[in-house]
Amino acid sequence: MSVKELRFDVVVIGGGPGGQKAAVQASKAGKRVLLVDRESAVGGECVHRGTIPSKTLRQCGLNYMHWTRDFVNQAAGEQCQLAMATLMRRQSAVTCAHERYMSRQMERNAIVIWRGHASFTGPHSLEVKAVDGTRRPVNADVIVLATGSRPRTPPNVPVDHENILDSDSILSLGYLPKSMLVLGAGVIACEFASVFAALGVKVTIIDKGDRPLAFLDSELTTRFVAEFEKLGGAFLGRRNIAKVEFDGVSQVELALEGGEVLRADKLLCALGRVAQVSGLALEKAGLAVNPRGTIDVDENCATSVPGIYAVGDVIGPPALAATSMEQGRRAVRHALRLPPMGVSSTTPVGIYTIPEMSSVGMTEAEAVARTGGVLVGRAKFAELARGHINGDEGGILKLVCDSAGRKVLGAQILGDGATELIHVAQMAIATGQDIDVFIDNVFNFPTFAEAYLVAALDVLEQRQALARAA
Amino acid sequence: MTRSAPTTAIDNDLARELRQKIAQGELELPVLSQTASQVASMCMQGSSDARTLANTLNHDPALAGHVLRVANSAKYAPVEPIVSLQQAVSRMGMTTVGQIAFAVAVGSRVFHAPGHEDWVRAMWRHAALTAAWAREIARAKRANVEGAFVCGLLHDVGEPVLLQAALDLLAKAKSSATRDELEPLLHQLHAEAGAKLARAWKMAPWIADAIEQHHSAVAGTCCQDAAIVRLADELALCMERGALEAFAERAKAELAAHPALEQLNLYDDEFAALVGRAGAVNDFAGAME
Repeated sequence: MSVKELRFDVVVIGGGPGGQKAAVQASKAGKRVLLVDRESAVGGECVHRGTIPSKTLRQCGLNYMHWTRDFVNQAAGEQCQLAMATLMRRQSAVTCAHERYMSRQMERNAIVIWRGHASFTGPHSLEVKAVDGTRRPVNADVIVLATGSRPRTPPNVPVDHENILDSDSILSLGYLPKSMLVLGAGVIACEFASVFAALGVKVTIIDKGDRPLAFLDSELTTRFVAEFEKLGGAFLGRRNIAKVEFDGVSQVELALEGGEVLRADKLLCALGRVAQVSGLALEKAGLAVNPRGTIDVDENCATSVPGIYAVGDVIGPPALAATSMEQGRRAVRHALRLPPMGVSSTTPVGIYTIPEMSSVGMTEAEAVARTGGVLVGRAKFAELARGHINGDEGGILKLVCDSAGRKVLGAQILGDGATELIHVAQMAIATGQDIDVFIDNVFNFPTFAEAYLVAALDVLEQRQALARAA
Repeated sequence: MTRSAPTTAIDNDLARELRQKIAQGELELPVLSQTASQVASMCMQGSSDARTLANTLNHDPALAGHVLRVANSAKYAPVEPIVSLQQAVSRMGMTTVGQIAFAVAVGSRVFHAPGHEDWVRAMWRHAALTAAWAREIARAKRANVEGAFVCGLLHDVGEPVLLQAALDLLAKAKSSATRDELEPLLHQLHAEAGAKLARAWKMAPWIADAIEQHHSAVAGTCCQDAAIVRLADELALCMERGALEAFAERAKAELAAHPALEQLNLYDDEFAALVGRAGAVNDFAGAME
């Protein structure tokens, strides 16, 4: 017996941040929307294995680190130990709360949700296979691919999800290991490495590059490494992996090219992610992945096939939750001929390491390359009352200005609250402010936001010196 | 065909006495003598290494349980529950774990089930198969692999414990019972008894919960561990019902609609990949025998 094909205005495949926002945008435009997700609850990797659980773990690590620093007399041999089960309970509570919120949002917007695996049968038709094997055909004028990504596993790293883990299975740890090796020095690698270091695990990052997070300002990453080392961590750059294996009892052995061998209780492989396109039967829709394994789209997230859009990790960098959401809304607005959203040129980057880092606009190096000369104002958190109160004296805010010391071109921050603080600079850049705006306005005291005032005064001093010299 | 606990409570003197023992926490965990003596020998000679010790302990779920119980006791006061032998070796060092095993081997009562050797051996093989399947399922679901293995190994630990207790009670009453008579009773009570023991051993709460719930149909993500054990149990039973060569077809026919698959969100392609691990699972269980 054939099953009747159902018709929707918009079908969204994948319930992560990009998919959700696409579905809500379409629903708000009065369209009949179907969201298909493989998982039993919407949220995608972001909620179940990514942003939400890892950031919750990070918050626990941060709290633990502060508690230990402020209240435990380590010199007297006092210890403050914690159980992974406690962390996981907290993580589970946060994830469940977020799931409930999102389910309510989907319900409020009358979005139909099917749990299943979608694959194309034509450019505008799909088959959705449920977990029990039943299949339902569906078609739509607009299809949004938001299937996300999965961890990349090189062939010489035998991930067994027990001793050699990836960024999905690392969150299933039943106990805190004594030591951990982290392969890779990108965002995920550095975030988990610093969190586990803060939780008291002896962590070593190994990467082929000479510094972690190479896309960030080098002053920030240098300070990050210093802070990571204070937590007992180590960064080993310019290393290539020869072989990884578990010794069968208790240690993972990492052999590096050149003969060096490192050992630890666990190893995290965080060598990037690949787009999740398996089983979609893209060819039946007339689509194909590019050599990088992602789907090509234009500025509106439209693919080469009319009516099919792709958003989020499946289209490649920056693959951030915030940009995925914006892409989801933008794609649907374009598909439904709604007025386009303003295009932001100042999307910030937030790295949830300990300490956290954030960047918006141009870095010092980028600004020098583009404009020839810049003035950079610096504010060290060690010079702020809030820095002393929070015990964050390694933090820094850099304000990058044009060579006249007027226009704000970018900002980079390392330290407590960096990912929140960055939005002040983002607004200044977006509205074309001069650095004087930070001097002419009064900030709360004591706050980290005062760093903007201190950095701006630093630029002002340089500007005045230049004027005097002229 | 799958197995579920009898729904009608068995009501006879033996059943009542066993229930009382469970309620009062009077069940004793037996230790298989062969492994116990091997561990004792290793530790006394001081010639063993960590690998050999872990392998030997892994051959015996009862002894492994004892070691984990002691590792979790106030004496060693771990900050978080020790859930696996590997963790115990990693945390406490081979020497300490060896000493615990030695103490357990000497101090514990040797397991006896006169007239039921084949049954006990079958229980052990089933535990090993379930542990190996639980490990594979946990890998597929990115769940905790070490914990799943322990849950699988101990999921039916209540059965040999209850068997020993039942035989003691029958001997005291100068009575006897056949395997056919005892099996339904043990099966009815084993999940509760196993969970009681796990809690008494101060194992992580989720391990005891998984043991207790592995036959019940509790929905929701919070019981993923129980669902893993439940599916592993069914895969092990399916494997025991026939030849390995025909296992894939048998598993597909018997378990494709099992509710644990939906609970675990395992799609048919993932289930097929999982079933494809049967050879490795069988090899592991064989090695454990």
